[in-house]
Amino acid sequence: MHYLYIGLGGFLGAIVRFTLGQALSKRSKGTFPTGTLIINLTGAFLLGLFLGTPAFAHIFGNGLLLAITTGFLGAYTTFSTFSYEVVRLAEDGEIVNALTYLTGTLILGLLFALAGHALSGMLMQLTR
Amino acid sequence: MVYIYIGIFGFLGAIARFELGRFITAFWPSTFPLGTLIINIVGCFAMGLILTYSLERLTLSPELRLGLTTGFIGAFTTFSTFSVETINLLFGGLITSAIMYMLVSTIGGLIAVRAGTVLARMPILLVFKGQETELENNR
Repeated sequence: MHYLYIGLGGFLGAIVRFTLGQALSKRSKGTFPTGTLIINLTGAFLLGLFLGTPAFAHIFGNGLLLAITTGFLGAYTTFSTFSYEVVRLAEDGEIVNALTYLTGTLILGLLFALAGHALSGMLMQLTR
Repeated sequence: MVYIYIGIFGFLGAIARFELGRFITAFWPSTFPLGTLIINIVGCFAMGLILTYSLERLTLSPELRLGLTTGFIGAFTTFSTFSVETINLLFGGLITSAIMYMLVSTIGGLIAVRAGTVLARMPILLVFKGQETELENNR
């Protein structure tokens, strides 16, 4: 049963990443991978939020929470495309963009996960 | 149609990540997130290999190419879990582990993509007749 939850979350997560990535790359000019950056940061924030408090397991139940976290958010965000884009930028000689993208994603990813975690704690306090 | 491909491959990628993660954690239980580390590095290698090979050498249908890369490998690897695991290590006071996890994931991922790309461009992988000349003509 876990497989179905995770699989369906992954099904939707991959499609949303593809659709959003295409929409964002049409809007942004240049070669900087803004799409993947925004996707990974929002995903890190939401995972920090949903895993920040055990309250969500009570609200959604374990199956649905697994579908949202491991399934949807796990598949929505991507490490392989991020790494591929860094190598691509470096290969094309855009070293500054490659380094900016690399460090920006890593540091902001931590901050967004932290912010999600903090919001989770605040929501817990409010609902008490 | 491409959405169905990406969705179904994403379905499989997420399950493969979950299963492999559980398998690795069962084999080497530790506070260090070895499961995600191995998953992300293996995925980076596969992304470099398959994306480069399918873009430069093998003519796959765009649906299948996007299904395998954006769908399966994209869903198999994960950035959100990586970030949350890093802050959990920091919360647990395991600063050295957190820094090691970030460095090994990132540098390992980049080396893996590069290794996959280089392998995809090797003459050994020219399976189909006429590809060599096609490649020459494209230069």
